[in-house]
Amino acid sequence: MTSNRTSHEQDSLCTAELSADVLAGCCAGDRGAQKSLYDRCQAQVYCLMVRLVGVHNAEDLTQQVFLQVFRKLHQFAQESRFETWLYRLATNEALQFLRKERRWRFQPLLVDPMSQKPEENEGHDRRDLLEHALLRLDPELRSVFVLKELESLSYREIAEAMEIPEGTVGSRLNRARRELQQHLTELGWEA
Amino acid sequence: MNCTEVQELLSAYFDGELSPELHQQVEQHLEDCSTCSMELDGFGRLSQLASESTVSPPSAELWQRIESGLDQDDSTPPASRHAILSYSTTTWNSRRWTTLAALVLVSVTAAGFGYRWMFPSHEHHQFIAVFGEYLDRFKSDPHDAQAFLLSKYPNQLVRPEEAVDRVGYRPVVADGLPDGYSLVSTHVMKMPCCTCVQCLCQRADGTTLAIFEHDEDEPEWFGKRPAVKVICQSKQCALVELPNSMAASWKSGERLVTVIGAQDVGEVDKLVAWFSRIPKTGTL
Repeated sequence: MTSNRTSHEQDSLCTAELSADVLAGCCAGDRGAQKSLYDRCQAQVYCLMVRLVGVHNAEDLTQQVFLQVFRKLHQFAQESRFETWLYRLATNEALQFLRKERRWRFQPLLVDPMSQKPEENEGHDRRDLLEHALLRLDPELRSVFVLKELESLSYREIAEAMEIPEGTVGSRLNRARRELQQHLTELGWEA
Repeated sequence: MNCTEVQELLSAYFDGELSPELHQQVEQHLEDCSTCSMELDGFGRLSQLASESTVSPPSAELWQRIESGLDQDDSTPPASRHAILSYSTTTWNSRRWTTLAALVLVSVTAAGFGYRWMFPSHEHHQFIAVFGEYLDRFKSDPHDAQAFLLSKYPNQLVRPEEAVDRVGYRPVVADGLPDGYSLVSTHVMKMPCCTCVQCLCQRADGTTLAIFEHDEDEPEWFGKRPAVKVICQSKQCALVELPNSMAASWKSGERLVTVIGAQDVGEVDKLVAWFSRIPKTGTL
């Protein structure tokens, strides 16, 4: 089973209405409440992490995000939506990870050179292309693109999640979309 | 509006985030400008591609790992809270070994092992020099290298299960070592970057391996030595070539594991698998 996080329909799984009882139970360390929150939000957080840090690191980062959620939930002021708070926490975790990763300065390999025959590589799946092109983007640009195009957040929600001015979201999206198209073209994308 | 002005607003136009007035002005420009219209079409094609993107669900064990971390939190004072985390493993077949070797060959880069330093630069340079000498000595005499490192930084010889009182987490070696390895010594060592648990291990053939487990996530132990990044057991590992051996570092939950003196990538993969196993219990 796969998930496509292109609409807010699945968001409702996470945010619709995480009851006050569930949130209070999580704060009190009630495993049942924590599992309930996890069940509602895990697909959303995991999808976000796959897009932001790649599939190899997504489970580790998802794990860290939920540990942080449960550790910091008492700080969640219910002035903002839980979803926004969760996105901010998850995006921060991913960006911290990616900033460290960037210092290693490795380029992800598009194709495992030994595991596939050359002719199999030629027909690389369009979705794989997007994943590889995303990983070539600067982490801040990748985040803003993913939150917009794959998580369907508004500019205001993206600004809150990334803690940047709302006016910056559009300019970063411009850069992200242009650079992404360039990377996709280099990877053989034929729109 | 001219093209420059429109292109600055193009994403906001595409996403429906402009005021009605600005939206109309951009629209008017697009009616007469093929360049900007083509760019807008490109955004649409990209959006279509993104809409086709799907992700497989995470493994069923993920909640178990989170729960282990929460159990650890519950039993550890907040000041020294570090979750015990673990990961599922996958098996590498022989072709994957060949692949891994190829990946090492093709992805060598001159990048350092580098993370940001959290302490003053003079200490940084001093530490790099000390650790560099440790690595050089390790090649010819691991025990001499060990004595050298212990002479440089405060340390305490402990039993593995005692380390938890000093570092705030249960080191993985407290649950034993992989088959074929025996424990020579365990030290809690206070280095400038972090306090770590260091184990000296012996292989069945009498050769030696050092394992550092540390919770500082910003280490830079290898200076400018070239590193490569490979995937071992679905985890990213950084490998540094040493004379006749290699060092490897990978993230294990909230901590880092660094191994000095690994014989080859196969041994690194074996150790990553072992460190990633799911613990029998999540509590201390």
